[in-house]
Amino acid sequence: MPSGDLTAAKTGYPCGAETAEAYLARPTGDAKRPGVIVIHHMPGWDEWTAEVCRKLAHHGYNTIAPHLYFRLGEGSPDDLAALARAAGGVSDDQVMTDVAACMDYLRALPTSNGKVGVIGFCSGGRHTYLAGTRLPGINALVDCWGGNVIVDDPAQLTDQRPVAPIDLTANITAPLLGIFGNEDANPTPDQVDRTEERLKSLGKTYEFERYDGAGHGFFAHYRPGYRAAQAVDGWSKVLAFFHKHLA
Amino acid sequence: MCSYDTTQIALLGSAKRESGWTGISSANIYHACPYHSALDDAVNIDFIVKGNNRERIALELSVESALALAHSILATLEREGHAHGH
Repeated sequence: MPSGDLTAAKTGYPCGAETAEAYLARPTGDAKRPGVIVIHHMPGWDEWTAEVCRKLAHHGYNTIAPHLYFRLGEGSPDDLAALARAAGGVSDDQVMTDVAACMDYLRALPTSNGKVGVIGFCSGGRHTYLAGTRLPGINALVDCWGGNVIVDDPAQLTDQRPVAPIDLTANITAPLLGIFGNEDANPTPDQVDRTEERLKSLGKTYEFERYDGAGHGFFAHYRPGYRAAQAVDGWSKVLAFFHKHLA
Repeated sequence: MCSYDTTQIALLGSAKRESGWTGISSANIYHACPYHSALDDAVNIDFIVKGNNRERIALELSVESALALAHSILATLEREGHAHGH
């Protein structure tokens, strides 16, 4: 359902007592439509993140991408990502607070149809899975190659990320789409197998799309790991999934 | 790859940027998705400016380049009798 015009800009959204920073893209017009939250990857709130927002807006979604590192102050997205890393990464609790506030923001838009999906890439894929376990009211989840959903090395559990999302799988209520490359090292195909086993054993509604010849981040057209055929098919699966569960 | 695993080391030295020379205090080293380089993954080295830990001088290197750089540094020093680790 590609739309016509859209608006896209940096915006503020209320998050507790703060005004948090985000990128918002949405179709013009008064029609009711779903919302989608885009959770950026570890390199930060970058141009790719904005492109994803505009793509989803083009397909009819009010789309917001919270800047998870904005609390670190002024700076380019990559420098703020470096600061976040040096501090051990933004905490899961903070990210969940931001995503919850974005859900409220999207549902308060005059054009909201009341439904909200979440999609994330890389670390944002992990955040998406985690949001599905911790935040009520999400209508659809898309985890794109989120690493560390399964934590095989307990040393990777930190104050910022104290729990492996896989251990909270029982709490997921929204349907989940997973997009993975079979040549990815994080998550490995074995970890994707184990995630799927957990979802299946708990009776969750999920779809996993797993692509041969693709590694980590194969949607990223600006890297050599871009795989056109797999990315085009993957995007078609994402859009069909959101249409099915959010329209 | 794409974890928060980061090696932090203290350093004594200087680096040059557009505005001139500055002291550096440390470096953060990690293997992750790059921001700028047209690579799927990179060894990223952030040299932290002395007295301002918000400012960095950043490198994104291919794994092969990072290994070559590390080996070259060691080889250069070992030729002059500086044993690894001293």
